[in-house]
Amino acid sequence: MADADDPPVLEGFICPICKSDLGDATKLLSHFEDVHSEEQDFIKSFKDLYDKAKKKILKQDTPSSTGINNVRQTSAASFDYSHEPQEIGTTRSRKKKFDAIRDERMQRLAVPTNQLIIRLGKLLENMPTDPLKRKVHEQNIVAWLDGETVDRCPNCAGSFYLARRKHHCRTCGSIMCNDCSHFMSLNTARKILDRPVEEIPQGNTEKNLRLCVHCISLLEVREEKRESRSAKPILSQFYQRLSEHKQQAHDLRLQYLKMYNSLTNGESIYSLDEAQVVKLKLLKLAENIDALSSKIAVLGKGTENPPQGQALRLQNMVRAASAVYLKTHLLNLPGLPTEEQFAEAQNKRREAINARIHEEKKRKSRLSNQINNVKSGPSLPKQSSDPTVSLGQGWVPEKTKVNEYDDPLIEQINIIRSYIKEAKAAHKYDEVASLEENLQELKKEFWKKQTEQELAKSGESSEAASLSSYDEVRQSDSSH
Amino acid sequence: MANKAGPQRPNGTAQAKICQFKLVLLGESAVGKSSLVLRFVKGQFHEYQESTIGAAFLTQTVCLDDTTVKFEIWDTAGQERYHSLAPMYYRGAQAAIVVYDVTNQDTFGRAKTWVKELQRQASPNIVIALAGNKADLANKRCVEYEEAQAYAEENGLLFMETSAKTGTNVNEIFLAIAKKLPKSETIGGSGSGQGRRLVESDTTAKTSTSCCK
Repeated sequence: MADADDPPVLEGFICPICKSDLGDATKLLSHFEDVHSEEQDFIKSFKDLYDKAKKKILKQDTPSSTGINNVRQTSAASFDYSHEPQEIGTTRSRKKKFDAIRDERMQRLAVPTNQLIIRLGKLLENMPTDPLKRKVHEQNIVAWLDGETVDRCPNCAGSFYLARRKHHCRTCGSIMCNDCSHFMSLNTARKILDRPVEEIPQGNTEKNLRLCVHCISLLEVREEKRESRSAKPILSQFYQRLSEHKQQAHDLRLQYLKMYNSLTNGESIYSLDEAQVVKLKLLKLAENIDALSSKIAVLGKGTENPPQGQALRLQNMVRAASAVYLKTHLLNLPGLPTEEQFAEAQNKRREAINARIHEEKKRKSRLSNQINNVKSGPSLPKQSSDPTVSLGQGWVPEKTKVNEYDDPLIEQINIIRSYIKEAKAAHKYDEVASLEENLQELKKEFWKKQTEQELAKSGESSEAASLSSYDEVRQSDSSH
Repeated sequence: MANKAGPQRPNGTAQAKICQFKLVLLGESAVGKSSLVLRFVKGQFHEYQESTIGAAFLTQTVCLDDTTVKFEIWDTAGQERYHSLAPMYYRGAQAAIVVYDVTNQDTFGRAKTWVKELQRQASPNIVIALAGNKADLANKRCVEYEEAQAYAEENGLLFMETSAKTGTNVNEIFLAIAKKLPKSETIGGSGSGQGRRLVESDTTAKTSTSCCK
């Protein structure tokens, strides 16, 4: 069809030598065999290149084309694509086409749905309570179809008569029978529109809007999609609660163990009652964790499609992990000492302390006998220091005058800054590092306080004060 | 002091270790926290020490057998308006010295509340020392040694009565802390700074009785 000198882009079953379009594969092959047999030596150089492709095609081709493939094999000429990496030739964007198709599909749902929402919003606005006025209001917004022109319900095709009355859909104005229309409560409509739900006065029945099945299904689909976007699966909700409980249990457990150790040592930091309360809380948490994990384990079982495979495995693992956690962390808590045991431990501790004090006194008196310490004068219990101990040369920053501020935090930030300067000048880099760390902490604390203040917003004056102090910090920041 | 590391290297079988510890001083205002630190770090004492603003920072190293302990000391202000800063300094501290004034019973009460706060909110492994300062003012004493000692024992605190003015027990209390602080490998032995002395005195007591027999 096309000649060799014709436009550069050619498509179809084109002979590689004379560039003529043969129409289909069989014709092209026989043409090639007949006309260009003498040029095959040249073609043979392509053979290696196409070998792989040929093998693949041989395996995949339909039975009808196997004959051709045999011919190809002998002729060693093939124009099928190869699976080797190819250079990109001419490209064309298909996005417009894709967009067009997609838009069409989207519009089939989105446009009517949006229209419905807009109409619903208008209907709800200033809706009169009086039924007659309400009807006028409704018809003002959506034109109702003339009842005369419709003699069958367009949905169920049932003809209208005394028992099957005509009803207008409030959002599209079309006519349906009672069975093919549903009521939507006003509060449901408000929920769809993200408007605050109104309380229904006592004694009044809730007002409804009659919608046809089409409209209501469109709205329901939209609601479902919206909910599914933000909704989490029940499993993850349960798991989140489980993790929260575990975190609480972890913190409480550490506290309990601290209390337990302190109590068994006879210390008086905590009381037995306090520890008992913590223990009860822990047991309650353990119960909750157990209940939640067993709920997770049986989640969805006994329904139409019980969890399978990975989902089922996940549920079982959660249950097993919780059981192990309970066993290793919560159920093996050491029991608290009884009142008597606690009293005994306290007595023991007291005795030990007394014994030690006694011992110290003895040692003291012996020391004062042995050493005639003139310098320290009064009978101070001086502790002898080890001979192997020596003090280094300490570092003290000079007292620099720092301006006073109302906020001790800002004051401290400025102090630390001056210290850092000094430490740098003295080449005390360990000190600089520690001071910098502290400065960061102070700043963090400062911003935390600022944001808290901002939130509280106790008035203009405090705001102005915090702003000016903010300027101070920034100024000294830049100077630093 | 340039040769401070000198004697350590040959005699220590192991390499000289350096441990760094954060230490915080807490206590009512005017009990002598700053004087105590200044005595420890610089060996100085000022009769009229200015009141601390915020928290001062000082460092001092102590050579202890084969380890060098470096104290980073945060000397907090005792005045009420700076109390909000204190948690920031004791939160990451490995050691704390709670100071009271032996001539003032109220400061001892305040020290007890500091100890309680530390026990509840500071790191659980914090080494707490109780220092009864101004011990040189014996004639004005209000807090008895035994009372404080008993309290310290009950709460597992190191305890000494100190005097920044005369220097009594100032270095000693810091050294006792340094000994009690865990130095990674010698955890078992380090915690028994006081216990060891007790054992010693036990044995001497025994030998003395056998001597009398």
